[in-house]
Amino acid sequence: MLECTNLTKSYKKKCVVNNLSFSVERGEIFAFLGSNGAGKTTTIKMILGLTGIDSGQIRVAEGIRIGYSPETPYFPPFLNGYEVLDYYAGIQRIPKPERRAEISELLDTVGLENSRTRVKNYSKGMLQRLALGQALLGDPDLLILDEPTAGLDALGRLEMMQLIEKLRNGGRTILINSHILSDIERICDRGIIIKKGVQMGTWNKADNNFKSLEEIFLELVGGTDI
Amino acid sequence: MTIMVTALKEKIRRKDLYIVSAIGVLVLLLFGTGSGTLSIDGVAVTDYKVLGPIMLTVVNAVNCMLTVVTSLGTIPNEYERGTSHLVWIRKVPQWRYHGELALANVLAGLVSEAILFAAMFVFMLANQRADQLWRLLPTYLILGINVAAVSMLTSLLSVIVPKFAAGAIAAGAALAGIFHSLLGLLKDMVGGFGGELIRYALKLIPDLHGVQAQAGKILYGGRAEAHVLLTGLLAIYVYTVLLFIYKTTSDRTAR
Repeated sequence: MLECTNLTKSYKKKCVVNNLSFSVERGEIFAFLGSNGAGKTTTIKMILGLTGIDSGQIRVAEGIRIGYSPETPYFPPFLNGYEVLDYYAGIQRIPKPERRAEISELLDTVGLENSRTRVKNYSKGMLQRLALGQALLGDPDLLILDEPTAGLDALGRLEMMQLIEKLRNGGRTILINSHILSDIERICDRGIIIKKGVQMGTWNKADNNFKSLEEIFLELVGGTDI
Repeated sequence: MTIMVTALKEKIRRKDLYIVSAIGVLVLLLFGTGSGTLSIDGVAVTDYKVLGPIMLTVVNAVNCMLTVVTSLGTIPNEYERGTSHLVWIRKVPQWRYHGELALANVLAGLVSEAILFAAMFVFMLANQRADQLWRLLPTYLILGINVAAVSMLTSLLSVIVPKFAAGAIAAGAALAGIFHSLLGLLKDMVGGFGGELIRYALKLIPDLHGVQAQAGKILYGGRAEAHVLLTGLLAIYVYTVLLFIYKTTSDRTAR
């Protein structure tokens, strides 16, 4: 569904992604692992076309729709949750008759009430849920989630993980970018581990030789960098 | 038009637009209804035909500066917050995104102008000019040319240069436009390099005073000079085209 080959990107002569290659298959949850500043978000931005590629290639299966949830979601503060989703649905040109039903269903899916509460009064957890909701608009084939549990407390993280598991069970393809290993180990099938923009190794839940993801990560990245 | 409607909705739901406009209305009402006294060279100005153009000048000046303030942050804030990313990934072309946000700025400026015109409404009623109230509509529309020109210029600058610089340049240009005729006199008086500099600056800056003078003529039953209004409309057109053709760097995250 998505294939990245030899991706390289530099900012002001500093290489942040170096010769990175990986592919995401249909129906799996693929993890993109690395410490803060490893180049994960930059790679996602390259996939989404939000930043240019210095060299390499990104191939996306023809006709697929991509949904994206950013690391630090920010929405127009004077809108409520329904209005935010309606805004993005409008930009996506989802026809009005379908929109109302889809938004109500999405709010229900991500566990947000269709209330008049404005986004400026939302908690971090509610913002992350809303971000996931807008990513799901238009029923995308591939969902890219950038640190979906960032800034959430234990309960918020648990709820978000349950939500992603629910999406996985619905057969959706998901690319998750995270540095919280316990979350990844719980919900992902396989992934790659990067450090300072360089691919250090791969991880596959089905083939882990009884090692935990944490142990594999420490072996590949080194304890001091976590 | 989804982007424009949402940006406008956000502006209308914020309170600062109304607070600043309300202060402007209060100041205008103070002079326009006899609650306060405006004096020129120690002589109190009470005559409707003298006070009216002064009121219009204040409306124009306050509104132009208010428009700079309300238009300044709209586009840069979208980049700073990262809300632009969720728009780009939905394949919205840059010209449409910037265009709709700029249009929201213009409409917000027209809303604040309408609030300020409430003072003009009261002023005319207080001066027994109820039969001429209809003239406020064409006057409003003509002054709207200034609002649109200042707003589009501010939006354009906010895409090209950092927010602070855009605000400073736009406010400077608006002030120069308001005092356009005065600068015209200064140009003739200064001469030399300074005069040439003012001459070129005047060509780039929209004649906000000229448009306001035409609005005044309409308010008092006269005829507006079409070429002055067309020059104002031309300025709007040029700023709009520049906004459409200017592209931020290909690396959108760099902003």
